[in-house]
Amino acid sequence: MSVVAKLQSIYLFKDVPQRSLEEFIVHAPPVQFPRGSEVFRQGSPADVALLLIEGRLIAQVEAGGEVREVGEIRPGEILGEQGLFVPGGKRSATVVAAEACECLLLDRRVMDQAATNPAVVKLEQHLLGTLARRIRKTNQSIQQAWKAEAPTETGAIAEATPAPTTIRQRLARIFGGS
Amino acid sequence: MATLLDHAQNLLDAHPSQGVTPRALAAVFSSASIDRLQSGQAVCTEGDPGDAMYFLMKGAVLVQRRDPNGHMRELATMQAPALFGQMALIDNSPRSASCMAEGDSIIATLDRTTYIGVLNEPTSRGTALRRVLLASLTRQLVGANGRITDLIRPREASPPETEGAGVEDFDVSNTDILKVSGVLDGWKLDAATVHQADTMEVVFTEDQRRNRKNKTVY
Repeated sequence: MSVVAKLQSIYLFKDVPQRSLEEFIVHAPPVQFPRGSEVFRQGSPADVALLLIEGRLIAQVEAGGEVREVGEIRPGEILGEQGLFVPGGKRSATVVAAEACECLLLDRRVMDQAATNPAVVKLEQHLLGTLARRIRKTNQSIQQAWKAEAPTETGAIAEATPAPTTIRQRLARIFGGS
Repeated sequence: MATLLDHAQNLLDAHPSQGVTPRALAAVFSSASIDRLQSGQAVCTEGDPGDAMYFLMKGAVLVQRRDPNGHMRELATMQAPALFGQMALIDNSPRSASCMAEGDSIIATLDRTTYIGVLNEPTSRGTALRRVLLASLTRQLVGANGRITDLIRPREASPPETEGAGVEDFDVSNTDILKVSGVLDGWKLDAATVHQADTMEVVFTEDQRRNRKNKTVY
């Protein structure tokens, strides 16, 4: 399947004309990552975002010498976009290719050169929605910690360890600080 | 007198946004309604549907929430240049606070229809609006996450040896939480405007009620 065909199969780009997608990949040529290779490293400068168009990526976070898997990235998902809009950020996770992957790398040069390309317009609109959802979700999590409501997704862990008794402990449990 | 280009430059100096030129942002402003407000004049009211977003070009805006007894609680004062009210347009949530001019102010109001039109444009003006918002939301999220990390990390190495004793000494205060919430909402609360624990209760009770109502948002 051609790169343009892969982009066309991504829901986000369903209304983007083929010609615009072809122009987009001239600015952001596809890059391949073999299975097992490291795509991003936790703590390194976050200056490039990535749009996964084929394969599967795994995000891992290292804390206190322990590596924890925190998420999986599927085709059509964007990763590391924060560095595109606010400078000086660091990668919050290490990302590894779980299988052979194909990605478009989006850096500031690409975003400036293709700023008015309909594919970039769609990407930016999508990211706005994603950020807004994360903000609401973070707000909810803070409220959970403050109100001592047991977060449902960590219910299983809660049985194995003593229930957190302070706001800080609950924050740490929800936000992965301990 | 400051031109729209001056106001755009001021906003970008205070809120750097990658790939946005002052000229393109000034074009966004020129599609907005620009009003002079007198001190005390309302901009938006808590609980109302969000039908516009705002660029504070000159002056200041007081951010308030009402408690169950009907008393207004001051949460923060935003100084120009700033943008606010965008969350309501992005995710259709009602206003989380009331805002009014503090001193004579100039505000550019971008109504929902114009906002949607500009946001969909494959033009430099559209790019300017999208990226100013993306930079602003990214800062809110990164700023809040950074504060949360600070709250849970520094004293992590010294957990209380025995349950109970000393636990409270290490806890996060309500004010800390309110500040994180303020960063998340984009108000950048400072200590001077944060009130006591009861405000906290009010804010979160309101938020939870609102969250339940808007469950589909998540």
